[in-house]
Order: sequence, then C-alpha cells, then structure tokens
Amino acid sequence: MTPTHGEQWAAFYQMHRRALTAYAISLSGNEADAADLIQDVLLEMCKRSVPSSALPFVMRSLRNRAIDLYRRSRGAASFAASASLVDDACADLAERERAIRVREALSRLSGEQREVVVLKVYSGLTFREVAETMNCPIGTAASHYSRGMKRLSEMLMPVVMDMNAEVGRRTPVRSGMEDEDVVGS
Amino acid sequence: MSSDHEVACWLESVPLRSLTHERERRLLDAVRAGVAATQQDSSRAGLSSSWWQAPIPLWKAAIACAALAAAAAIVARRPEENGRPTVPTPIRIQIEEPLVAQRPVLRELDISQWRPVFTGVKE
Repeated sequence: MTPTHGEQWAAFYQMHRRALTAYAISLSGNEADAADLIQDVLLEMCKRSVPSSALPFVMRSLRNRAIDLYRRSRGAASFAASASLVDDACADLAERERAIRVREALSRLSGEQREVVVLKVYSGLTFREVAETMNCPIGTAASHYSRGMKRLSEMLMPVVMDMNAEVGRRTPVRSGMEDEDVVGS
Repeated sequence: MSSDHEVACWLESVPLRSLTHERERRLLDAVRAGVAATQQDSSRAGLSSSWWQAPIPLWKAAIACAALAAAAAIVARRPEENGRPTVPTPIRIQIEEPLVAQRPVLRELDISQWRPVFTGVKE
C-alpha cells in the first residue's frame, strides 16, 4: 500500500526536522509561529507527492510565506532571519554564556549574512541549496557566508580563547604518568 | 580558530530552540490529515465540514429537481398562452415629407421599436 501524500510529507518533516525548524524559528522569531509556518507550508505541499530534491523548495516556500506574513506586521523594516533560534535559556552556565555570545554575534551580522549562516550551519544546506532558497546566485550566497564567517570569527575569537582558558584552569590536564601512578598505588 | 570550519563547529555546538513534542505531534497529525481530506478519502462523509462537500439528502435533491423542471416548463410555454405578445404591436404614424415642401407626401412609419435618446445635457 503506497503512503498518502500526507504521510510522505510527514516523513519528509521527520527527516529534515532540524533544518526546517531552525530556519522557521529564525524567520518567525518564536517556536509557536515557526510551527504554524511549517504546518501551513507542508499542508500546501500535500497537494502533490514529495519531489526528489524537495528541501530547497520547501525552505524557499517557508521564506516566501514568512515574508508574506511578517512583512506587513513589521512595516517597512527589511525582512531577514533573526538570531532567535539560539537557545540562551539553558541550565548550564557555560553553555548559556556561549549561547548568549553566539546570539549576540549573529545579531550583529547583516540580514543576508545571518540568513546564509543559519541555512548553512544550522540547516546544513549546500551553497546551491542556499542560493535556491534565497533566490540568489551561488556566488552571492558564498560571498555572504564568507564575510559573515569572517565577522563571526573576529567577534567570537576572544570569547573562545577566554572560555578555553577558563576551562583549562578548572580542569587541569592529567598526564598518562599520573594515571599509571594511581593504578600503581 | 583559524578557519570557517572551526567557527562553524563552534556555532553548531550551541543549543537551539526547537518545537515542543506536543506541537510537533499536532503538526504531523495535521499534515497527515491534510491529505486525507484532499485525496481519495474526500468522498467519505464527516471528514470535511465544508458545506459544498457535504452530502445532499435524496428528498432535498428530488424537490430541487422538481422545482427546476417546473420553472423550465413555465419558461418554455408558448408566449401567446402565457399572455405575452410574440411580436410587438406596430405603432404607425404618418408624417409629411419633406416638412417644408409645397406638396408634402405622407409617409407611414412604425415607431413601435423606437427608444428615447438621452443626450446627457440638462436644461
């Protein structure tokens, strides 16, 4: 028995859950709206079966749908993916610190740079798929990514070095000799 | 941290917000059911609440057909039997032509089909 279109698209969602939710949350700004966004798009897709390379098509549909929905409410402000997908409310202090830094760094990028970084890093798309999603040439997408990563590197480098040093102070490296001593004693 | 790859790895390591299990389950249920309503299952009663897709009771369909047939029969009856004229009654007048001639000739006209002409100029 062949699965219905709905079952096919449900399986598609489960296969690409991370890519879809990360991008949808960055587009909408919160989980509830992201779920509505994904549901609307997938229900629209249910009129047909899942094509061979559906991910960029669905991602682009998410983008277009978000632009339709949120551009009106945000007025003349330019639409771009936000850095809201980073969860900076986790319990672990070090993890929270890192999340806050990453979120701040992402929010300082230009809209296009941030969108490309989200699509590439968090949704795991190739440059060709990113370009299809954003409806721009592959070279443009690669250029935005390169500049975005350069800026992120500049902003995050000191933070990473500080945090690594902090971790090094808290957990001193034990050598193999110490292990042998412990075993021997 | 000298390359994009290292930065990307560091970015990937931060926790991301995600949908709750409950919301995700509802999303999947809606997607699965969305097709059930539009695909081959649409003929089953009760799946859709759209009034245009609701089944029509037989007695209602029979009454509608009878009313339609009666209306068609009335319209199709011959106009004479219906009391309506088939051809407009001619209204004949006679005018002298030409108006300023010494010996004008009477000419008969049928003005039954004439309509008033509006110039749009108000006096």
